Amino acid sequence: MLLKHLIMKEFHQIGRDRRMKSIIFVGPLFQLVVFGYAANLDVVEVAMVVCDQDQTPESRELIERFQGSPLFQPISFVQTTREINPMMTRGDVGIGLVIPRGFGADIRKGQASTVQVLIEGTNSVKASQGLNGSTLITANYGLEQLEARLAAAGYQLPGLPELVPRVWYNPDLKSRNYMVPAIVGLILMLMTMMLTSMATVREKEAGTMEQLIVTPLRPVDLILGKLLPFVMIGFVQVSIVVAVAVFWFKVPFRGDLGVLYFVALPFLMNTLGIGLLISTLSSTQQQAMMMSMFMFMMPMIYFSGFVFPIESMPKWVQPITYLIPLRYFLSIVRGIFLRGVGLEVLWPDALALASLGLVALSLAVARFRKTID
Amino acid sequence: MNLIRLYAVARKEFRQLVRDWRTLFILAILPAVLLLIFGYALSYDIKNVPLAILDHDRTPTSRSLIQSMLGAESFALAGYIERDADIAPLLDEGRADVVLVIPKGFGADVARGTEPRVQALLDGSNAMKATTALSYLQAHITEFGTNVMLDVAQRMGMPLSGTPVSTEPRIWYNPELRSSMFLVPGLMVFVLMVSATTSTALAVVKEKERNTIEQILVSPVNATELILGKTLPYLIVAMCAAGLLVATGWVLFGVAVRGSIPLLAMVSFMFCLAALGQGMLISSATDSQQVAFFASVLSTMLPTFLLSGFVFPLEGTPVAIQLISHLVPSRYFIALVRGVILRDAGVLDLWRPLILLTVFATSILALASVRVARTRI
Repeated sequence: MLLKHLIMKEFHQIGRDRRMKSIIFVGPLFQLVVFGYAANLDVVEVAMVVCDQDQTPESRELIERFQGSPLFQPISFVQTTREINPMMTRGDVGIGLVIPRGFGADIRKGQASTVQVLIEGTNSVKASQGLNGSTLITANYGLEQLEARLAAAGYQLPGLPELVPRVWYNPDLKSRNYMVPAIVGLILMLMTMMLTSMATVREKEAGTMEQLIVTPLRPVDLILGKLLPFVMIGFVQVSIVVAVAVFWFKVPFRGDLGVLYFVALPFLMNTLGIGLLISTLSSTQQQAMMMSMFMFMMPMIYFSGFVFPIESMPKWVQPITYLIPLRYFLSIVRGIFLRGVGLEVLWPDALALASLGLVALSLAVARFRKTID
Repeated sequence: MNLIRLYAVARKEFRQLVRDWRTLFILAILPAVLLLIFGYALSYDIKNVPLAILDHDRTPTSRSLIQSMLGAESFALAGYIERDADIAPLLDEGRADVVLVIPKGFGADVARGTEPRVQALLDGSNAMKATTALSYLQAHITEFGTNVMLDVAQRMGMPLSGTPVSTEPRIWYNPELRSSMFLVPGLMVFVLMVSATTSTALAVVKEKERNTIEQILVSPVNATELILGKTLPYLIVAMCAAGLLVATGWVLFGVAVRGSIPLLAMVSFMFCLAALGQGMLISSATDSQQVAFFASVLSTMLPTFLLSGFVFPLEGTPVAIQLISHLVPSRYFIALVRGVILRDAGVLDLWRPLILLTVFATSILALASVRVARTRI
């Protein structure tokens, strides 16, 4: 069959370029390994400095609470608040606690008291963690004091609720388990979209496209011949990534591998369709690359929920993310890896992927046909 | 090195660049447009976490607990469920991120003095979200407990006013804790790095593919003049893009440059040289535009995203990763940009990343020249 020969031709062209071969197979691996180790939003300790202007048993007790928390390490002490400033600017500490004189007295008298918390705010993630953590510690301390006073006065204490948390799917709360499965989608998208858009434009640039057109090949064969090789490459890449994720990084894989491969197809329909579409819109490889990167890949990476949660985006931006195929694929992949769910739960996302894919492909094929004629 | 020959190369490259206005637009203006889009839409602030509630108790006390959970912006109500069996499907299907289970007898226990246990089941897939949600839960439970205590105290006539110990937070450099302060400089670096490296990645390869490289190699132009000459027009474009980026950050996101602008310009100049140099190296080492493009994307997007401190902090990563990050110029630039823009740091505070960035830029341009000199036709 003619189609088979077209596919072989494409593979030959790829195989001829040794560097391309290593990029296709080593590239995903390299990205995965770096990502697996570096993508880490797990809570990091914050260095703290304390200025205890009170020096009473109460203030020392409060400081002990901070010392007992794994979040605030290491803790250093200074005599005056003036010393805190340079420590913050240099980045030696991220948070400063100032306990004012009279703190202990206020506590003993039952009056409300305030401690000052200075936070280095450039890293807002670290800063809010520091803020939440310190507020919690002081609030709990205050609550204990309140309890003690009531008990001492002989009143019957109410039973305060105790929170018993249980974390599902990722009990050790490792960011890696969330990020690594997402890489499956990212690599698949990057590779297939770029490869497709460039392969077609390259033929156009080299003029070999016309030679293909004058052959007895039908347009359908031409298109399939261009796309199928990359589908196959895509599947190989997915397998490599999943294998490394599970065996090297020990990311749990609780779902069905077959479902993953099955869902990869509509996703590929999208990436290949977009890749083909880009190739019809550009006359040089350079344009194809720029377009695919800036107008598709970068926005898709940022808006798909890959790192930045969609719920944190402005309300009017969120509906737009429904047009991004990667969004659905990421949600499906994470569901399969971590929650162990299958199509009975994931079918809405899969359906959305398939619909978007059909639109992308039809648009691309329609334009491609026009350029042939 | 002959400056006239260098200028000749630069002029030719500049003419070619200007002729392709689409690429020029992408390189100079698009970075700022992307900053606008991303800076506006992206944030780390975790708010409105979907919370589902299973209230076995249904007393005023349990309702008061629910009130304090939903009061602030931490959680958004995802619904009430009736039975324990409903919990698993809710989390499996992703309809809620947290399920709060209030046991029967909650209100009675609180009044009696026995501490009831409130279960919270969290979807831990997104570890950061889950950790934050957990801290919100703890904060609200403590708040509830404090209110209960204060109630008791008041009823007994004890003179108490509000929370016993409160914190007065003072946040430096970013008083409203806007994640844009943190993200915008990082986004600037990301966009600039990708666009600068890609622009030059194609510069030499294009000539190789079109075979005009032969003409250049037989001309009296030597490798260094070729590399520097080709880089010059892209340097101008990249600096324009950088300026536009800083202006966008300032005007539209309120990320004002608190430090010295000449220092910022010098730092950006060095970074542009480094990024363009990386592209030149790729260009001189590859034979097809396709491979050059792939190499530039792989060496910029992911490393900048992961290893520069843009999104993920470098502390706490394995030593090997930290070592590799020293090869990523964005790492130095992010430290420099955040320092100058956000903290008004001077040369004395930032000498280390600045020196390392300069070393990187000069070495990579030198490497590119060596590679080109070795090119056989």
